[in-house]
Amino acid sequence: MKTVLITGANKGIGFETAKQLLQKGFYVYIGSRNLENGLQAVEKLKAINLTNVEAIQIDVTDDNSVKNARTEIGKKTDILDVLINNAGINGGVPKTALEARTDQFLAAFNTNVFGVARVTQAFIDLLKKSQEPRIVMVSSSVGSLTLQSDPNWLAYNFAKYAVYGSSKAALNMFTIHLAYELRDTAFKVNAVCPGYTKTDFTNHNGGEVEEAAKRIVKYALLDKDGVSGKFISEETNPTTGEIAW
Amino acid sequence: MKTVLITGANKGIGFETAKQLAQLGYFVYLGSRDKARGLEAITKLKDAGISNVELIELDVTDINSIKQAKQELETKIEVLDVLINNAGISGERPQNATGIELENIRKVFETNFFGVIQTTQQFIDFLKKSDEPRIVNVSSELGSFAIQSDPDSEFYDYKLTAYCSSKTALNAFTVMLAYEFTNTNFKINSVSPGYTATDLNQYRGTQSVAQGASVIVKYATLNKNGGTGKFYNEGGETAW
Repeated sequence: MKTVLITGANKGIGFETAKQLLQKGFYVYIGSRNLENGLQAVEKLKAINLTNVEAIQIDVTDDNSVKNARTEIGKKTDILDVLINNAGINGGVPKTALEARTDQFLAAFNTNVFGVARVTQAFIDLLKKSQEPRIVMVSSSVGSLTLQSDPNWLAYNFAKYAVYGSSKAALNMFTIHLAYELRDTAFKVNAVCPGYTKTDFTNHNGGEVEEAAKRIVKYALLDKDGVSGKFISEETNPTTGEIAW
Repeated sequence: MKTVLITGANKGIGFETAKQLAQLGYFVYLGSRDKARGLEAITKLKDAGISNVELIELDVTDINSIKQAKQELETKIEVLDVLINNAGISGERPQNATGIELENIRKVFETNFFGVIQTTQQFIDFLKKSDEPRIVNVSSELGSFAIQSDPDSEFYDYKLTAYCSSKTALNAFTVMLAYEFTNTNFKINSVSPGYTATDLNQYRGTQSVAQGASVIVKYATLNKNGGTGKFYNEGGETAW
């Protein structure tokens, strides 16, 4: 049975991704900053007969918490097949480059960038033991500098989220570097945009959470011919999914 | 006389940029984190016959220092025409994605990214008083997605995770900030001086500081038809 750790999986797209991977036969570790919320998520899944799941307390911004999560999971499994770096924050308000405060930038980068690096580094040894290791960075087309610079982009005027966008751009660069480091291995490492989705992240505006999770699951399940080091947004490019950085 | 503030200008490309802009007739506020080193730089310029230059003590990682620098500048001038966010660090090595220390990443971002944001936000009102305000964010091709993902690029193997991703984030800030000033007289760009021999790369860079600085000077002195929200290097506009 393949194993997957999903950070920030107690709700929203992360939760739905957990559900879909359970349905595909994975053993799922639901990463949750707050253990209580994680346990509640597990109960919800068990209530619909998805039982190969447990909650793991993990705060991606906290060294000790990540270390403990690694120790915990290490007791349960020798191999981690998939890591989905899903935990993220939207940077709050104000959103503009002129008004957003330094502490907003700090908080967003702590979770969305440094947190991803921390979790990835902590679990890379377990992932290396898998025959088909996959890492999905949950990113956003808002972090595409090509789109953000294109006045014809549909979201050009309303997605100028300076904090969130710059954090996802930095995450994308980290993705390129990680894929580069693992280029001659079985790893597939990609940045995937789930699309604009109705969760509490977007005040419940956008598309269906099932569709969003499906997009992530697809790149968690890539076969050996799958891409690596790419930026995928099926919402932006329904044909191949790949979009410009 | 037009005015410019350059952060991290006591040495390297920043120092050379100060010299070239002073020679073009700008009054240069030479930002330096360390007062003594800043004064040494001023002395060097004065020895070279350049007198339109003054030291501003400024540590971009310290909001109080930035505010103090701003207050000091306000006692001297009414208008700031150009801000060059030049202060930057390359961080310790190694910097591979799975091995880099988190503390190292954070430190590089503090100067190269958060530092630029807080400096820019503090000085923006000053710049708004200029008829032709210009902001140059000194970036790097190493922060370019196009280069970092192209195996044929000569810089493909330069995978300094902290440095590169901090410059990528900076480029994102350039795009976002330029957007805020759409249809104004501001020109805000990310500029890569190129691979320049400085202590940032242990002098392995292949071009001189004079060459590197001239690229920055070009975009600090753009006329009203110049681009904004773009990424430039010595060859002109380049891909993000």
